[in-house]
Amino acid sequence: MSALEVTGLTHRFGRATVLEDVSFHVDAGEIVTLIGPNGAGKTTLLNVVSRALPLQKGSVRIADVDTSRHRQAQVVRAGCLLVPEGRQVFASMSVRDNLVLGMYTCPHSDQDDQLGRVFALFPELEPRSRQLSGTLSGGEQQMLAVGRAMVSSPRIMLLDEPSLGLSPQLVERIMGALSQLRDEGLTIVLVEQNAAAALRLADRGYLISTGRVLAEGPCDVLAEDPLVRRVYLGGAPVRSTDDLPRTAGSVTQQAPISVTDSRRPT
Amino acid sequence: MNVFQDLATGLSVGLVYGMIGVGFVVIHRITGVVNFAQGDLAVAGAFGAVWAAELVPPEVSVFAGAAVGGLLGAALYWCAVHPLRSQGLLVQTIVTLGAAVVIRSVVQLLFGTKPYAILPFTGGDPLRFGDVSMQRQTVWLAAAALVLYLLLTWFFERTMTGRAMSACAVNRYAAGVVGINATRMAAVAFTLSGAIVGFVTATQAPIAFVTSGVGLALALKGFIAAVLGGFDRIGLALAGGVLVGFVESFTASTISAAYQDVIVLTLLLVLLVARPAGLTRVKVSQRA
Repeated sequence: MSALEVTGLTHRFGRATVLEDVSFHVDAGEIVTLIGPNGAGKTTLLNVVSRALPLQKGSVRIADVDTSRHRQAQVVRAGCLLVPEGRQVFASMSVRDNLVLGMYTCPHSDQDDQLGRVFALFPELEPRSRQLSGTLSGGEQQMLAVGRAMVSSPRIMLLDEPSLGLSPQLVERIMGALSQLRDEGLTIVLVEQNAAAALRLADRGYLISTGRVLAEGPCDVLAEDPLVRRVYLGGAPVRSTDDLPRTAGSVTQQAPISVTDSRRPT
Repeated sequence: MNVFQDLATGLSVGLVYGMIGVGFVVIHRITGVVNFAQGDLAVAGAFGAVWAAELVPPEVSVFAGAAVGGLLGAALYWCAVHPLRSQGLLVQTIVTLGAAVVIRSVVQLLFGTKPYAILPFTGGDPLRFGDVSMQRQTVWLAAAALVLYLLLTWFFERTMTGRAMSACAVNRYAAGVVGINATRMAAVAFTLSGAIVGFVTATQAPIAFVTSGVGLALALKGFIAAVLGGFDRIGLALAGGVLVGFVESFTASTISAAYQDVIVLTLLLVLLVARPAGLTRVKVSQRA
């Protein structure tokens, strides 16, 4: 059963098409990474799935429930939590208050139990529970952002650039925590600029460029795929179908690529 | 001039200004809107108590004042402010000025322009402390303001809804991410704010006559109180309102009651230039 199934998602900012007919799925308990160059539409995709941005066209199913007409709060209640880019903690509130607010949609859950789960995964946060979250380091804020999403016991966690601005050691720390959450049964969608770290951690990946899914496949195959290397690691957006390689191992090539307009960066 | 008498006189009006300032802060923190209908919500609430006082004891009628203020606050949000959410804060703020005129006109239509009052909660002569006299109702008013302040503090710091409202004030995007419905929180803020000012103005009604035309003046004094509180701190807004009440009272006793508004509005101008952060340390314009 798919934990998350996105079908035919299209999103526009004014005249600029940021996402065009994007489809992907995530099975329960797996980590799927969405990789692609800057401006590919990855952040917009997560924002639309979590309904921080409205769903304009397409459908989103969470655990076989159609959430296409859901508002953001309903998507959260359905168990799909976004950990946004830039952490977005409540800076002038304490670490504890941030975590308690994470339980807003499940007020009857055991606060101490949920906070204990977070502190077990991120022991660094416990002695700072009364500290204002805006005074935490970047790494600690990222841990807090993940912890804030954890406390509502979500089915799916959408993480947007969790390694942004962090040292390699902290990136490993965060990725290790995500791996542990996967082992506990959480389904994760990971958007990452740090392709190496994302492909090491995830089970499968999707390559996105200029608002379209170009390819999907197991991460070990994607990492060696010439298309991924060319589009993502090489940095140049694909502009015509002729640019695509004919075969790419076990990577599944998606819909043909057409010439695209310049698009709003996400 | 009796300074202590001026303080006692200033306290009763200052508490009302302060709580109207608190209403401004509650709405502004959560929505960013400056609700200039705040004074007229207060007056409408007081008239709700005047109407209810014919049926129930005055100490019960003030709850009708809170209900009227709260309902009108909710109606103001859903009918005027929320439909303009895509037009920006300036438009939403301006529409509250229009709503103030509508509320004032309806109140005048229902009650005319003559002053009304309700009976004090407790009868008897004014309290005397040496040569200072104080209406017994002022004690009730101070108690009501104190209890409301403590309840609000508890609400924002201890309840999930209060925390969620504060979270909207801190980071609305992040509030949405954790499932907080910012629209609902804004509606709660308008309702709560209307109920507070309705309750307090109704509690003051036995001391000061209620007339339908005083809404704008109340809003301006409450606005000064909110500025003194940096549009952020409810405690400082309440203190700021009391300070405005004292200034009015001193002006009336030392210069002339006719100059009260001139002095107080001059105070606002000086304050905005010299101390834009009010009694806080951060400029209002620097708040997120």
